[in-house]
Amino acid sequence: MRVWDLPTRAFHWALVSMSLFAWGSAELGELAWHRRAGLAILGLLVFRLYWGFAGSSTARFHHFIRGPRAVIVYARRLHLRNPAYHIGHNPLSGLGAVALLALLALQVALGLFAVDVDGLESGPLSHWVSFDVGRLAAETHEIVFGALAMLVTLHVSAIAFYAFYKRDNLLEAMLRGDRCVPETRTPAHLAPHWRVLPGLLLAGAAIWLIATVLGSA
Amino acid sequence: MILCLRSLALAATALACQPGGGADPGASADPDRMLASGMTARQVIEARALHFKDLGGSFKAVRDQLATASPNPSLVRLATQEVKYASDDLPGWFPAGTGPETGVEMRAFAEVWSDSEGFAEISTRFRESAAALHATAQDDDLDAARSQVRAVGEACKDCHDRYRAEED
Ligand code: HEC
Ligand code: HEM
Repeated sequence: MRVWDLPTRAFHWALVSMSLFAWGSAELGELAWHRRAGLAILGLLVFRLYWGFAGSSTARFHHFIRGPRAVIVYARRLHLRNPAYHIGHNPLSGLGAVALLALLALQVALGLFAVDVDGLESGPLSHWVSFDVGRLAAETHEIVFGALAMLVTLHVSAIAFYAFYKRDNLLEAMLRGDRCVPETRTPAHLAPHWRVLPGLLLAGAAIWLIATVLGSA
Repeated sequence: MILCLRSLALAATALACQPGGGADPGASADPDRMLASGMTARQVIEARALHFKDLGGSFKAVRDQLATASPNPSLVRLATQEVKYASDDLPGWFPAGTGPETGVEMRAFAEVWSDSEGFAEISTRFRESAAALHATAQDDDLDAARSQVRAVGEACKDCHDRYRAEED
């Protein structure tokens, strides 16, 4: 049964590669590439935001943002060693997805305004803020990186926990889109392919706006 | 407010350290001792931090202007002048006795004073590149200014790489 539509999967793996690329380029001091990676992630996040309202049912925020009660009920049964056959996020992974997306958005936003101490490198929107604010953005950018690294570690550990402890292969669903679930489950409602287009346009517009209009002032 | 709290905390650590004779036996350092300039080491260090903040702001103003399609020439002249003045003064921001041995929080390494030749050499390079940058601005030669900004930035970076701690 289809769980994740193609746009959501493409988003996920593009996000993974761009995040690794952003990290690597920063470590190597290749800040021009780091800025490009950041803009790419910005575009991906804009697309995902759009897809959270216009995409297939499993990608929609109202489908996977659940109240605290649902999360607690689910968390109480987390130790049970059986697959739960969720079509899409379970209440806990929905929370994790929101946390990851929000933290990534914050990280990108901070990067846009960051200023380095030597004045050699800075974010594309840094000329809108003072030196002090830009330095604060840069320092917070580092702190948020640490938080993101922890959250991603937790995320990947959770996937491994499901695979080895619960015998639930979530990775395959994120790769191929399908997973085996009992026929009694209601299938996901899939969005038509053309719906991707407005999202791509929005993402492109956001990148263009920052890279040219706002970015060079 | 933050500054206040921090100096309170520092004063508290200084007091706490006194009876034991200090943590670092090589340290000669009472940060509140008066230096030849008539300022205490602590005052010099705090003033230094403010000077650097101003320098950071001026240099950012230069870069932000030069990054636009049509920079404002008088702003560029003014801001490059600030950077030039700062580069003339910079060696004076590091008088003897204002290093990490004072116990005051800072990013400067002790090498600023122990390797004073190397530090003077980069300071000179900074002063020359900043003067050249200001000269391009006075000639309204924006292309030259844009490439000279890079040279100044490299001087900042070289000095920070060698004499300033990345984390505090
Ligand atoms: C000759 C060496 C040298 C040069 C050149 C130099 N700096 Fe620094 N800078 C330092 C040192 C050392 C410190 C740490 C001072 C301290 O903590 O007391 C510092 C601190 C700073 C700080 C304070 C904030 C922080 O994170 O430490 C700023 C801002 C700064 N420098 C900007 C610049 C800029 C911009 C340039 C070039 C336009 C520049 N500096 C050139 C040596 C230098
Ligand atoms: C090898 C590493 C990774 C694997 C195997 C992996 C796998 C997965 C899987 C299986 C899901 C679906 C979870 C579910 O069933 O509820 C998922 C969702 C998600 N992952 Fe990853 N992931 C990896 C790395 C990352 C990284 C590095 C990031 C971010 C920087 C990330 C961000 C996300 C987000 C935001 C979601 C929510 C998806 C959505 O609703 O759009 N992942 N991941």
